[in-house]
Amino acid sequence: MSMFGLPEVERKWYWFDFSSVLSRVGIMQRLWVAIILLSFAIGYLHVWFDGNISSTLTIVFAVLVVGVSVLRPSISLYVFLFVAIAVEQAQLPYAWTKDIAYHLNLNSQFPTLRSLSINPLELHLLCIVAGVLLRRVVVREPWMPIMAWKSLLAYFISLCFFFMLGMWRGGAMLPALWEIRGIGYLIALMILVPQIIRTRDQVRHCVWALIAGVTFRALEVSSHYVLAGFSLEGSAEGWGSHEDAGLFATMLVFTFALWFLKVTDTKQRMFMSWVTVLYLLAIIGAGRRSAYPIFVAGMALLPIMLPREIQKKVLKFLWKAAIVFLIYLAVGWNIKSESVLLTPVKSIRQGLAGDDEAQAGERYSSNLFRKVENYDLFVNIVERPLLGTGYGILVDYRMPIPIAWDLGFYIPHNQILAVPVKTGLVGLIIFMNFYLSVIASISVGFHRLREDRYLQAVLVLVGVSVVSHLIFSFFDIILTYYRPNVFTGALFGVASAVLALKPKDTTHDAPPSRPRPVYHNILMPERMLKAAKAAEPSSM
Amino acid sequence: MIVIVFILLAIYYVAYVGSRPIGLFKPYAWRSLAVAVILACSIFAYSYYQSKRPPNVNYWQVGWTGFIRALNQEFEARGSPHRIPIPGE
Repeated sequence: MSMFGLPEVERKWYWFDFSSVLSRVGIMQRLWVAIILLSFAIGYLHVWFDGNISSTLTIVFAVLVVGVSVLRPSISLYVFLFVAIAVEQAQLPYAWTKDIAYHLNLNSQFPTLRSLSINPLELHLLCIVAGVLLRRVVVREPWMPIMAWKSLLAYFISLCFFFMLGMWRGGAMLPALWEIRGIGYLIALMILVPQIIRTRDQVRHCVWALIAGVTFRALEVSSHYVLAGFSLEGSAEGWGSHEDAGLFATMLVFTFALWFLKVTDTKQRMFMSWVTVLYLLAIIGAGRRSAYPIFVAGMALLPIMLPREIQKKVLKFLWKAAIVFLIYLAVGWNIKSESVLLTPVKSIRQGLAGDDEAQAGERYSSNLFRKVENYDLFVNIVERPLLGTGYGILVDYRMPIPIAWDLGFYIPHNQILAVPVKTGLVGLIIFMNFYLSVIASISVGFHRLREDRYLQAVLVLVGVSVVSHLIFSFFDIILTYYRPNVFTGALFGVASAVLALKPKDTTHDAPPSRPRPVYHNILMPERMLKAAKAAEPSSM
Repeated sequence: MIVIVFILLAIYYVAYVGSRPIGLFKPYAWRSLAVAVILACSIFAYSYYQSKRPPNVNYWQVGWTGFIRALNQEFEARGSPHRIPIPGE
């Protein structure tokens, strides 16, 4: 009798048994068969598209994205982060990625798809979301905590509320959606990333994906700058997009954090050390003056967050570097030269010049534009202080400014002042509370992770990304651009993942020979101060 | 510029307080909210002060009048309903 209780049938030599054939075919043979079949499929697709390689690659990439997102959402996330950061949003004519419309709506690329106001970035994100939900249902992976989730929820609700307020006041829907689209990516990634990134290795890989994307941009910007003879001629006031300079400055501060913390993860530290010069050249080549205050403000955050034993070394280095930098500024301040070595001095002088035409030079019009726009925004803030106008409402420019694009009537350059204009005092409090809660969460978690220097460096990167995001938003339309929001949202998600990791059980740090000193906050309530002092070790 | 200085000071204060070891874990949620409220009120006070000090701009001197006319022509050519008002007209 056979296994299933049926009588055995005598096998004839001409019978073909599929199961025994497959069982004799190994994994490598199956892989080769799959590759051959796939090659035929791609070849057929290529012929069907009349030899158009872009269309073929797009379909292949789309199928791969869907498959990988479902099977391995983490890999899809790394690819998403790299592509979203490496591909420019504004398709500049000299950009390496000008033919890759990753950020462009499908209805702009294919006029027949009139109602598809969705871009490949969002489609990719949806695939990752589908993969995560599938794993949640099938594999039953637990839902991971999100840092500062209460302020995130308040921020999300405020976005919805002020969107509806704008529509109720007769605002235009499409501009309103444009205003909050980028912020939507930040929120989505902040929720999604910790559901995918759950181990220390995945945190490292995620940071590698961000490093790869930003380094690719740095390579492109530097090469344009060098090939143009170290000048900005032929560029749109700087090679690369507006937001690139902020990303470069953020990564540069991360490099310093890796050095100061003496992170033992040598691969990232070595790589960032090697590309430091590339980033410096890219910052100068990007031509954005905001990169310098971002770098300075980010470096100022380092000694505040770092542990006390490293703080002194950092401060020792920083004050010496500050003196050298001030001497460099003083020497180069009045020199009229287009030399690449003096470009940072020129940019800082033009940035601080305001409406002093002599000092501002060719940036005079840009400085004046921002001065007048800021005045208009201050007037708007004072007119509707509590709830603002809502999204989708035209900004009332009392003193007109030369606006070059339709959305400029709704979205001013100064995105920080635009927050109280659109959402009033209530929205501004919720907005600032969100970013301050993120800073609070990472600085509290920073102390807890004192045995793992690499994770501390990652939290420093997150803190600097907050500083970069807010400073750059003050000078440019960063809250609505996609790439900085993807970068910052991914880092916020990585921070949640880091804070959810169990403290690494290592013996790297020798136990302290004496009890740690107790720090008291001068604003601490009296009863807490007494309780803290009573709990101090008696040997202190 | 003062606004971004306020924001940075708030960030540095919260980062400093949070990275010190004891006694600050529980009240943290309301502490960042309190800093956010103070920051928002400071920005509003500064906005009121600056709204009374319009910049002195000669549109002809800086070349903006012609520039604005050219931009309005572009908007018209594109079929856009938006127009930038010409100061003095």
